[in-house]
Amino acid sequence: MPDSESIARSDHDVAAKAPCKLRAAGLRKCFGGIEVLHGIDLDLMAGEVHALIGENGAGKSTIINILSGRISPDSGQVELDQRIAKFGNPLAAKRAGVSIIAQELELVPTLSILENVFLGAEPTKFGIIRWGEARKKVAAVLRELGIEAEPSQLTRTLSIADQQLVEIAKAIVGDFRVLIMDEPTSALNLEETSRLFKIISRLKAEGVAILYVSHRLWEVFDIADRVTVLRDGQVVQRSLTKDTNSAYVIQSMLGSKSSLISGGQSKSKRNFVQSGRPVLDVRDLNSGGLLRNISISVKAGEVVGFAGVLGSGRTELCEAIYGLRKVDAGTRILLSDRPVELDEPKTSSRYGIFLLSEDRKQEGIFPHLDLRENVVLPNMLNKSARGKANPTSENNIARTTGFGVVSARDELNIFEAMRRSLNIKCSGWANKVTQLSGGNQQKILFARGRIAKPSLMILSEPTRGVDVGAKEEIYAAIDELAADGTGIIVSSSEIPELLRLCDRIWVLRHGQIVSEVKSAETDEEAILEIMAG
Amino acid sequence: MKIVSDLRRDGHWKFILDSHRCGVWILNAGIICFLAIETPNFFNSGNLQSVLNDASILGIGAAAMTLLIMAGAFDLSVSATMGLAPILGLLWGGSCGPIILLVSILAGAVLGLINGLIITRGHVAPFVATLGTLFVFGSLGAIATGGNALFVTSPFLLGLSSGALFDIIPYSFVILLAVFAICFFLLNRLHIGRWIRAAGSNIRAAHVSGIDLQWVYLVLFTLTGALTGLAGIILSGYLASAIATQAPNYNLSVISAVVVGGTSLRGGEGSLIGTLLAAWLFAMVNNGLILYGVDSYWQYLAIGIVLVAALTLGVIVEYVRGRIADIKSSRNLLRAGPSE
Amino acid sequence: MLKSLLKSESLASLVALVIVVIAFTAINGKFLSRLNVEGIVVSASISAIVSLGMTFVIAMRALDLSVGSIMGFVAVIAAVMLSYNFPLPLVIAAALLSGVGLGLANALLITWLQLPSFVATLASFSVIFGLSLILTHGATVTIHNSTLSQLVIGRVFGVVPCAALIAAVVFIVMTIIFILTPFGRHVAAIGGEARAAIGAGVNIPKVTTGVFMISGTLAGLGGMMTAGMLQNADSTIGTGAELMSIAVVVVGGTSLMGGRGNLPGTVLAALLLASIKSGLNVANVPSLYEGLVFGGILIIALMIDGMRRTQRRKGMLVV
Repeated sequence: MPDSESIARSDHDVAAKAPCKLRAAGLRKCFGGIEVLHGIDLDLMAGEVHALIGENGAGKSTIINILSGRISPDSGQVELDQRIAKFGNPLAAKRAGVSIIAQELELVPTLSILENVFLGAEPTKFGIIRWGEARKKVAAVLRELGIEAEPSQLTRTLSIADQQLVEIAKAIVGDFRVLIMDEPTSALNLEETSRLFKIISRLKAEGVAILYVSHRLWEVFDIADRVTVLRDGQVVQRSLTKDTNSAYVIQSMLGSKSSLISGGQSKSKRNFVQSGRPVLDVRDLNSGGLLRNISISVKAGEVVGFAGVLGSGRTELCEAIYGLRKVDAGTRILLSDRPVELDEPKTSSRYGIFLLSEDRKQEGIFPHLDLRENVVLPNMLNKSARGKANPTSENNIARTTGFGVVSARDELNIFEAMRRSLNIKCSGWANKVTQLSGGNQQKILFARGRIAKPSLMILSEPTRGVDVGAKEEIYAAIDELAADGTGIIVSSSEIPELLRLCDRIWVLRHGQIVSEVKSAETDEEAILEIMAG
Repeated sequence: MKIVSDLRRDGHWKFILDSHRCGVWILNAGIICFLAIETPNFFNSGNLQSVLNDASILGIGAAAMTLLIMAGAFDLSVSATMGLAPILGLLWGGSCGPIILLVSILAGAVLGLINGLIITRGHVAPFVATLGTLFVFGSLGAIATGGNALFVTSPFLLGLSSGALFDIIPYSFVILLAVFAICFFLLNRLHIGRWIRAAGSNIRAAHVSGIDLQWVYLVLFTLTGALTGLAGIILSGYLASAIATQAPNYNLSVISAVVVGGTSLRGGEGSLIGTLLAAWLFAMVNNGLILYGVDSYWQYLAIGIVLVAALTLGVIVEYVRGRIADIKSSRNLLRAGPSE
Repeated sequence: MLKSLLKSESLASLVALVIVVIAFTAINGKFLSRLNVEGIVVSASISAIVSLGMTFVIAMRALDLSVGSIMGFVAVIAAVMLSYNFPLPLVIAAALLSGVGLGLANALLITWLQLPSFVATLASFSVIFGLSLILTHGATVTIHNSTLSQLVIGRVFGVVPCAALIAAVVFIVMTIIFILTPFGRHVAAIGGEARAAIGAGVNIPKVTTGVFMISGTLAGLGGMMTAGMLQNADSTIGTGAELMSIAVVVVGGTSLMGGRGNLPGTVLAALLLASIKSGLNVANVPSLYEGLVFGGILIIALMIDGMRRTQRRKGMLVV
């Protein structure tokens, strides 16, 4: 475990180097009375790639938001070129030369690449936009990033990967001395990533100070010169990358709480005998050119995984199974050996399939409804169903038309039961969902699926934005659910997670399945190689 | 554990007294006081009945619109339905009062259903779809009567619109209360009420979670149409005539009432009680202006100002509350000292 | 620019226009008479001018429900000033300034009070309409001076009505602003993805103010031209114009979701709807049927658009 001595040693090494471009000292920040940053010091040197890593909830996003001017710290200061910098807004930071590649796409779909890149900074002459020079610059950057589109193309016509590359283009066109990259490769395949790394090397040579935030350790050890590990709002390790290794870093990141370190041991505790009949059987699934010839199956009590970069078709496959995406004719889907047409979410949910979408803000939580309603909502416990063995599976008229009377008492009981079993931290059933942390929000959505007693549950990025502690609890809940006999699909970009949870993993690339592996017989590196192809 | 129904009721009052929705309370209180001083004839039985009548006609349509807006949709065609539904009722309902009433309501329901179908099956946005049906229904109403007015002679209908229970409470107001009770029950006690709020809160999440949104919107638009038809025939009873254009700008008045009552146009949250109060407010202001002797030309201006005032008051109060909270929290921070 | 003309929605409007012209001429040859065509062009020009302003508003994902009342108000002001023999340039200046001012008022309601545009413009509609009523006391103001009228229905080069020229200028200016200025691009950015606009440092209140000022000005211009065309003005001018111009914008291919603006489409749609109105007139269809036709067209046009949007990702209701 890193100790104060080793931290002091690396600080000393650092101080002896070239002058610092961007320095953050003693940053503290509170949100809603809870302190999330407990005094952070961070140095970015010119011509150096400095990686900032940590689990979700460690404080990475807060630091980035402060450095890029989106929020201001409660105490502590930021110095740019040894001068105190107070960025009131992102534009001021940008003008001062701090460029950021955001994690979430911030592109206007109805504008062209060129217009997006120069949004807010359009080159004009007498008030009229003159694209000339700018277009050339953008075209050059697009080539460098390997995007085949023209600058005048609308961004909504691009693939997700290309859109992320445009986000990167946005940040590297123009003058800047500091570059902050927040998970820039989540949608990129290995080829695109290596192209990005070439650009990073070029920027390094030009003297740019780069902050690289990621939780993909193989990238960090590939490109970064120094690494700083964050946990629970504090710096727990500072090293030169050549002086440390990923095992050490993982320990620093996770502390002792994680089962990810121990690998797939928890899985073996699952003792549900997986019966022969598959809960879900998909054959020859094709969907509009995005998915081709997909055939998978899931048995009751089995947990299977989908691996692949963003845009590989993982998410689309989950949507197609659930009925959120049209499938071409010729696709056959069977639920417990019964052929079905899953054309809409309402049909799938009636058949007992539940989807936990990866974007819980857009497709999961209802901000205006209280916690109880968020959990209970689609499953409808009626007064008339009280006392029945499995009230949520009654297909009565009240359930379909919605004219059944709400049974508040039953609902509250169920909510309490879920709250205890999943350890949801909230002040009560009447709380607002938006006040909960990411991990607790995810638990609420998980509970929603859980009480429906589904035969198949599809989880897309189940621990995105979830802190370590909650992650473990969710993994345990998934194990439990599988032990009860539910078939589970986990689609994730985090391979350790897939290895921890799943019995089998399908690897997708360009919308096709390229391989099926048993998690007991493989490891992260192998899967990465398959993903790269 | 507290009884759930108590908590629900608490929640409702808290919602209304919430800063940016309190404008309607303040205005109501203020204007009533003003009227009490300046034009005490306001409180005459006959006058109050007239105001209640106006409020009821507006409120019946506004109740349905509240639910619709809470679900994230709109219905602009209600102005036209206010005319077309009673006309159809009178044309096809013969001379029997109750039958005419029933047919008007059913006609309104069918018109609403058409709206719902265009939106759910035709995949047209509610705003534009009901804009189109506003034109179409309006035109149909004019064609049906050749542009003329039909006369209402049924004593039942005339009595319903102008009469009063125990000679004090107008029947229309009783109907209004019943309508509100039904809407309240639907919103708060039935599952579909939750679906409505879910659809307004996050329509994509509602879709993904398996809620049958098509059904929800069909029900809501049909209900809106039916209640508008009811309001329309009551208005016709009051005017003793029915013409396609008898409620111009009804759509905007109703939406104004809903918004002033505190329901957010973005959907997900709202208050039926607020709508009720807002309907009363508008009716009261209209009546007050007449009593005060103001030119009828000033009425539009007055309503506009009331609208702005109601919304502004909310913003001001919220701002003041925000500043007070800021001062309080900074004082607390100072007192607490540096954190660990 | 040629590319946007060939956008499919514009193409549909163009085709529809051709069909309509052929159909109505077949019903009654008078449809293509010089007088009738001029009437259509003038009325379409005014509608286009107002709708171009609305296109900006809708591209920003907002609505301006007060344009009709602004039209009426400015028409009245213009008529009153002319009846007091104010010189024409002054009248024009006053009209445009009123439009700007009222648009600014709208913008203040939206940016200061944080009211949604629907509500804010609903309120201002009431207030402005009320002001018109008070000014006119319900009466009609007749214009005896024909200078304004000449400006609207007078002919340039002996052929083209002045109004069309004004509309053409407005169209060109608006297109330049929308496509070639940062302001215009910011309007589309805010409507398309407000988050991205904020992140890029776009000043949303400033852009909002600009958009509503444009909308108000063009509405004022339209109102003044209407007064010139009718040679009188009362408070009912512009009634329903806001809903009508929303219909024009939508039929012209601009989505209510914001982010895009099909300006040529708006002009074509204005021409299309004006032709239909005139055609119905010429074909002796009672005016009672107009609403039926317009509403029907709106709904059918949008249903076709809805079906054409073949979404791989299952769409839900577009609210």
